[in-house]
Amino acid sequence: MNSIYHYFRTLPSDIILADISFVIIIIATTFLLTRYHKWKWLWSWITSTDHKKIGIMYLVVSFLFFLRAGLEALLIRMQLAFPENEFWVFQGERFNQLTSTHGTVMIFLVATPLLIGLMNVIVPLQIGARDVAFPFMNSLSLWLFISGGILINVSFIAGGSPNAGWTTYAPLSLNEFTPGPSNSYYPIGLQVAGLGTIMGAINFIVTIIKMRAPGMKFMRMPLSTWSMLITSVLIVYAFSALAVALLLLTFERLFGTIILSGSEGNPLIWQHLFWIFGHPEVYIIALPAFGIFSDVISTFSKKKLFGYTSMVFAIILIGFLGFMVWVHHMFTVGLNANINVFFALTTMLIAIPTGIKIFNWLFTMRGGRIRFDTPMLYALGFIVTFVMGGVTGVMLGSVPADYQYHDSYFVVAHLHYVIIGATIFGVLSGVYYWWPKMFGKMLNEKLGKWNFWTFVIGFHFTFFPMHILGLMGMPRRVFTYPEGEGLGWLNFVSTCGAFLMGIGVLFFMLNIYLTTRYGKFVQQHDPWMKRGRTLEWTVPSPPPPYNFARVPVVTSGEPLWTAYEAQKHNIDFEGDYDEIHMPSSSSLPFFMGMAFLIASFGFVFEIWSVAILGMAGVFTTMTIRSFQNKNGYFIPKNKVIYNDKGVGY
Amino acid sequence: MPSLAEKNLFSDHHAQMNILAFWFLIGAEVVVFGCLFGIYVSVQELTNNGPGAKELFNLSEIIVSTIVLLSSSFTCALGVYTLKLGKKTMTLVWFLLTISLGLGFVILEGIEFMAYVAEGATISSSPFLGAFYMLLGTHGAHVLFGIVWIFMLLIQLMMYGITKETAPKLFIASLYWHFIDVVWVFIFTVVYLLGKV
Amino acid sequence: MRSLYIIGTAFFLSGCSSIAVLNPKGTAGEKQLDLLLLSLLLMSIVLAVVFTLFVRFLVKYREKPGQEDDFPTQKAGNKKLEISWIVIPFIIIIVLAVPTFATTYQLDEPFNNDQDPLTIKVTGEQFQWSFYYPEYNITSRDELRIPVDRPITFKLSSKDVIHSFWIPQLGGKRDALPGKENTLRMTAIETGTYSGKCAELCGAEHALMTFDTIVLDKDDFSTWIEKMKDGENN
Repeated sequence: MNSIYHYFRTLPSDIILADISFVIIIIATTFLLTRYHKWKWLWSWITSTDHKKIGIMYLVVSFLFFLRAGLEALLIRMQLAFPENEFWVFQGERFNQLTSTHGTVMIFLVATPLLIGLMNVIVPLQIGARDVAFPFMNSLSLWLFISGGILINVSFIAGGSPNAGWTTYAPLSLNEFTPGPSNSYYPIGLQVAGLGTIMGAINFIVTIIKMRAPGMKFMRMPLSTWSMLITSVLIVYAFSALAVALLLLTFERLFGTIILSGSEGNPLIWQHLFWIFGHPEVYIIALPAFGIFSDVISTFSKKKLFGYTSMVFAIILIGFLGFMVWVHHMFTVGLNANINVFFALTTMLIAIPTGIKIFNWLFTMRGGRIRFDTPMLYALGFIVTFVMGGVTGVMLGSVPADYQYHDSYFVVAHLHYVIIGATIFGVLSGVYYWWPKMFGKMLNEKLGKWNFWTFVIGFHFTFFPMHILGLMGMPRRVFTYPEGEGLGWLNFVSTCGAFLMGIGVLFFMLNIYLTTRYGKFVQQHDPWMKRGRTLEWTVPSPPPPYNFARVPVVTSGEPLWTAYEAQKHNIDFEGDYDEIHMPSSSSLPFFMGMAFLIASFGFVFEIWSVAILGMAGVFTTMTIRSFQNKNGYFIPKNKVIYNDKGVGY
Repeated sequence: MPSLAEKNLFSDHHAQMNILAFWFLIGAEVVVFGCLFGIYVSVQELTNNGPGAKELFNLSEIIVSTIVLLSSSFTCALGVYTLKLGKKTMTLVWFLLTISLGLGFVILEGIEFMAYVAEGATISSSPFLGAFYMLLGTHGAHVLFGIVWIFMLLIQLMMYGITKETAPKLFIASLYWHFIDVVWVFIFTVVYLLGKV
Repeated sequence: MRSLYIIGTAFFLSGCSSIAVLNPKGTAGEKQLDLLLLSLLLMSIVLAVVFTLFVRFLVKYREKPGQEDDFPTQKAGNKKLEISWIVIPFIIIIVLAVPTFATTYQLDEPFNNDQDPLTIKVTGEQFQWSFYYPEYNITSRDELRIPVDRPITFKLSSKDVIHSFWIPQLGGKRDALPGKENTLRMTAIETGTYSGKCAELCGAEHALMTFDTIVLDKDDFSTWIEKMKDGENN
């Protein structure tokens, strides 16, 4: 009893606050679920194998992670607002924990799954499929992601967060310099989440290759689908490299290998493996956003995408080159000049396919009828922001100049320009665009515009000054800077911008709340005023569990637009109504995810009995799954007909 | 040309999707082992004053385990052949033989590792040994997983016979088994043969 | 080309003398600034083109009242345009790549012995820098003193984790790794005090791992060396 009291006495105030809010959230959630009799409803979501529900759960969970990592960003900016500032407890070690989890969560648990979630909803609809190829595995991917995410997120209140940066360079990340569970959370949590991501990617690949509606040739697929196909291939290869890197770090920390140690081994192995994954990861989170923007720009300009074929090849080329540039993250580690210039060249070459895409987007708008709805605003904001991030990318590719930019705030500025500019704007654009398809209600346009302008203006105020701060000599990941170097006022501007972005996010949440509470159902398959072009706009909003009551007839790259041009209300569907086979829901993915979570805690704290217990749980659920017979159920024909004719049209 | 039986067994849309998914999984595994080989090769010389490849390995023992594992690939192929012919008992026999040989391999590898550890060559002795145990351990874990997997499929084969559900599963497991054998060929060449040179 | 830089630099420096990288006091830093300005110039052209088209299209092709039911002409593409935005960026990249390559190799080149380079062994450890001058057998901590106009070869290494040695006003950084020696070369061209930092996250006090770089003229440097030698002997 005494020791417990002592434990709480010594806790820093931020952890006590986190503990308290954690408890309050749990109690409040439990109370609300019980009060409104929603446990059964929750369970039906948890066990669902419907790709739309799984996609929405991806979006919800990663948005919660986004709020957490965003809060960390605000704390970081508070600490850096003034020179030699001391905000709360966030100096030294605690500051390193903030930046490390901010980066890790934003990259792995926000950017990647937000896009996967959105694409989970949209891709099957865009290719005319009733679900993904492996609905069970889809649910498993989700629960592995959530388990890994929980692990990384509770580290803060359970033993300490990772503190060696989101890149977790050895030897700093080894036991010798950061003992305790902190940096063990990183490889183990990401390993679990990464496993789910690989499964999800394979699922997308097979779905897109094997489940397209008749007539949906590869070169008729919408760009969102194309980009998700290429992204999935990148995930399969890049995340496998990450898996080995994480396995290596796990071995170093848990089983005593000395491969990465500075004295006997070679710490650079970590950097190579990490960036062989890390650079493709940039495209993994950028390409789907490119796909979304292609669809959005085309829709809101009422124009066919300019240079469709070159757009597809540009994506493929970017994906391919993405694997050949990793050393540009390591220009200053002292590799020889030949290696450095080779990677400088490949880095600059990526500008070409990226440029193709930018100009194609611009020329898609030419001759169109542009409307400035929120999805389009985000797409336009993306073009401006991303081009700025792109040109600093080329500047960073110039090796000798990079010796100056590297690990300075210039890089921080660049990476936020491309990642927020592409991924976050892309997700917001996609969410506004497809919200009526997912939930049947339009998000409020007025609040959407408030959301856009506060977020984007805040963004540029936050990150543009960072370019200059970098050139003034401010290294990244510092918790303070001296009074005399003139870094103060730009940092202060940046902090103000960050809070404006925070207000933007609040507008977004307010919009969701008001729309869900008071919004009217749209009742149309295409709520964007007859601008829709692709298959997802041919089904009711929201679509029935089976998406398509009858098989859509695809005769062009933009079937719905073709129908509109022929003065038709919707595309033609093929064949007669029939009963539809549906995958049954399953609780196994949830239990397998929880078993992984238990095992992971065992590994992180090196309590082997718990680890073995968890792994036994994993294998038990796998065995049960292996012995499950083909299951599923049928939706009867008359119900399909009733749904199709009764509502939505 | 696929035989008639094969066409019927594997032409099911779902079976085809499983097989395609599996090929991409193999792609991921290739990267995993490629990276592990990369780590091994780059720290091969860092023996931390301990034993190196030359001192440690005994080729004749390794050749025995190589023969054991490679012959399991052969029996596995025979199993798939009888599976396509629809002969349930023979399929069972060949696959049982396959996993027994696999088990023999794992035991031999365990004995090999224990001998090294007895000599003081443990996972934390040197970067070379760390990478060695990581690479071979990952491969060994794959073999072990394959044994358990195929065993469970054989139980299903006994329960339900050769059906459109069980046959593609076994076929995929056989692809997996061949893959880990191919990985072993690379391990044998890069780690043992070139290590001895 | 050079005159362009000078105009560009003058424009920049008018309000930017406090921006270390744009105001170099070392040879390496000057070369890196040249590349920075060249790339910035090229990229400004790209930005100008993109933003001009962007604004023009947005203004010209926005939906006007009464156009809601229009079906605009659907254009699939334009070969000439598409080739032009492959070829022109390619040329821009070549223009940037050639000096990038040249400078990378230049900075990598060892100094001649007749330039009388000074070798300094720099060791990073959590959380301080030490500078050992083999020529004089003296060690200085958290303060680096170097003579002006004499080439300096830094030999960088680390006692524990990875650090990165950076003096923004003299030139770009190079990592200090454990178990490996890296080389960084530069020549200071103006006396003064410049701040130096650790640029690679190295632990709790990463932000405080700074040092002063004091560039002295030849005589002052000799005086300092003598003083340090006396200090070591005592």
